[in-house]
Amino acid sequence: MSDASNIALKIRGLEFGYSKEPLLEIDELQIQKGEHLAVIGPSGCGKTTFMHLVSGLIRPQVGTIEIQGCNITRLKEWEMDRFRGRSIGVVFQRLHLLSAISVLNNLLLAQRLARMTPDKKKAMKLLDRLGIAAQAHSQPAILSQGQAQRAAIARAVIHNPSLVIGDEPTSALDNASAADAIQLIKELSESVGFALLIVTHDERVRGSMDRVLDLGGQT
Amino acid sequence: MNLLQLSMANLLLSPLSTAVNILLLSLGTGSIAILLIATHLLSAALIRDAADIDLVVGAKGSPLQLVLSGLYHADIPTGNIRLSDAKTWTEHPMVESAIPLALGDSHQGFRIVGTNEDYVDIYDGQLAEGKLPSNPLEIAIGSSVSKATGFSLGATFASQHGLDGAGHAHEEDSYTVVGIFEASDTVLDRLLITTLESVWLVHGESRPNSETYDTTQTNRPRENEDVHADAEAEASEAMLDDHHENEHVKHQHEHEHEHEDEHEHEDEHEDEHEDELISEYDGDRERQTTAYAEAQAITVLLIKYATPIAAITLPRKINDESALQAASPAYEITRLLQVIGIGIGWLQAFAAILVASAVLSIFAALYASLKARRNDLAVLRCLGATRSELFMLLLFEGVILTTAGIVFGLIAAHGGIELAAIALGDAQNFPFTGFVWAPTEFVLVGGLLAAGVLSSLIPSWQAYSTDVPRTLALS
Repeated sequence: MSDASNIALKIRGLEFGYSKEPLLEIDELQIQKGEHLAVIGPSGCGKTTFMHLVSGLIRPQVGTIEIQGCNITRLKEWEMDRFRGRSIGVVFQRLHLLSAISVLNNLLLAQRLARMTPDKKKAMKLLDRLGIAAQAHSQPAILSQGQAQRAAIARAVIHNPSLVIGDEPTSALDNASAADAIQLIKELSESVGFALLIVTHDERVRGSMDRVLDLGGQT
Repeated sequence: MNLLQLSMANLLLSPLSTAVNILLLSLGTGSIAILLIATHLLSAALIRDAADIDLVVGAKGSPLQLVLSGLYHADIPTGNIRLSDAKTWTEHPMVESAIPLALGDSHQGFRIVGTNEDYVDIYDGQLAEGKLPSNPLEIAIGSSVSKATGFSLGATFASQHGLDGAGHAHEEDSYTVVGIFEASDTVLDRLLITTLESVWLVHGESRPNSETYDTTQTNRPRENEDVHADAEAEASEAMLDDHHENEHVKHQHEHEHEHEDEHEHEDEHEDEHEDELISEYDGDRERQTTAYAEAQAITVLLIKYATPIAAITLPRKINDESALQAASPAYEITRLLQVIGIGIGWLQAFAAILVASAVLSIFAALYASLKARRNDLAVLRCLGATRSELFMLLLFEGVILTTAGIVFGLIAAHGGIELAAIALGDAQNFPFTGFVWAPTEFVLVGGLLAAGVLSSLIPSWQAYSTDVPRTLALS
């Protein structure tokens, strides 16, 4: 039996569908803090929908999703937005750093949206740890793909979330960069203590995760 | 980094588009602000300089011209009237006070007014130094005159015939500055005040065909009056010549109102007669002075009513029962402002079109930027921004653009007016400054901000309604 306070994500009796036929059914799923889960499955099996459900962008028709003990299916939309800002970090497939502001300001804005006081020192320290401190004041448009991915990872973890969700975070990277990114995010997960949930097609990622959830086979 | 800073950063991401939008709005705002400030300054000056004068009485002609020349010193007089004719009305029971003014000469473009102390009192004129003129050829000058001419107490100068400063100089009779007024922000600042007798003296002794003492038929000496015969003949001849001249000027005034042409023509005409008259002039200045003194012409009489009912009866009485003309400043200025108002209305309409274009342009810019930034908005929601915060993000952008347009427009308008005021100097009929705030500018600013917010509402609502999962799925 796991310690309840150590559970980062707990799903029970989840059902979701865009029509009468449910697209996604998960009886029970738990992820511990610091645990790394790969979500795989063929196209159209509901991987992205699963990610949106866990991040509270959509609500299940049936079932509950608890993050750090909070049942997010009961939260009002604005409460969910704030909860997401505080407790969840997201790394996107196409990175999506805000292009109007510098790398550092992307991090400080994430802190602000997490309702934290922006901490420039902490942000710089994190960028330094990820090897992109020199690019702190650069606009995202001039970063290399690898640097941008590191910046996106930094933004996802700067506010010490309980859960970080990655949506195909390595699909646009070459082998070396992908391995590097996964290694970094796993290291951060261990040091910060967040659970890592990565939706991926990438065999390289699948192999490096603690567990795999195959939505095609529901394992 | 907060949402307001993010809005600023988003605007700076497209500097050209942002600059063009701000420029467009500045142009519209500045144009309207200039019109509002100019109207405010003109109205304020007209009210201030009217100094509670109820009626201006002078020679027949255009009533507006009479008011503009007699009260605001912004036009040429309609002609002169006999002091004896004017006295009929100064003693009328409906008249509380009547101030005579003798106009016609100037110095460096500033007008010389022959009058009495009452005229200074209606503008609350205070002497900065010296005294009011009491002896012949003493003169007190307004603050703007002092600044422009550099005259100090004791300075002497000769006045010029006419009001544009280009006329014949009365070299024989120099005025001596005995007083300098404090600035009063009224027409007094731009005037040189002397006694009626000084004006009569200058014109009596120096130049028989003076325009100042030009008169219409009504103030020509009548046969039964006890005026020296020879002097009367000479004076009348001169008056007649000037009457032609003045009629010509009046004709031009009514049809064209172009002073420069008018004075050029006047001067040509004047020169011809001057040669003629000087040759005829036999040097008997003493006799002629007597004739003018006895003719005692003035240009206008400024009347204050003793009773409100006078407003209804007195102007009609003067116009019907005498050869003089009475004009109500309140009525004439209202009429003038109405005429100006039509022009200003058209200009404001044009400026409003500029503003509307600018507001539409802001809408188009925000809308286009919204489409290009849908992914950013979805990412912001994933980072924890609420729908309301996305709404505010776009609204801030619209408000920032609008505020910048308003600020630059107002700076341009006020700065432009101040620069124009500096360039034109003190000799303007209605001095103006950019350091003034017209109350209607509050309405302008409020209206523009409201328009800016309205133009941002649709893009803001679309940001609010961003479908995050769909946007992320499509990205």
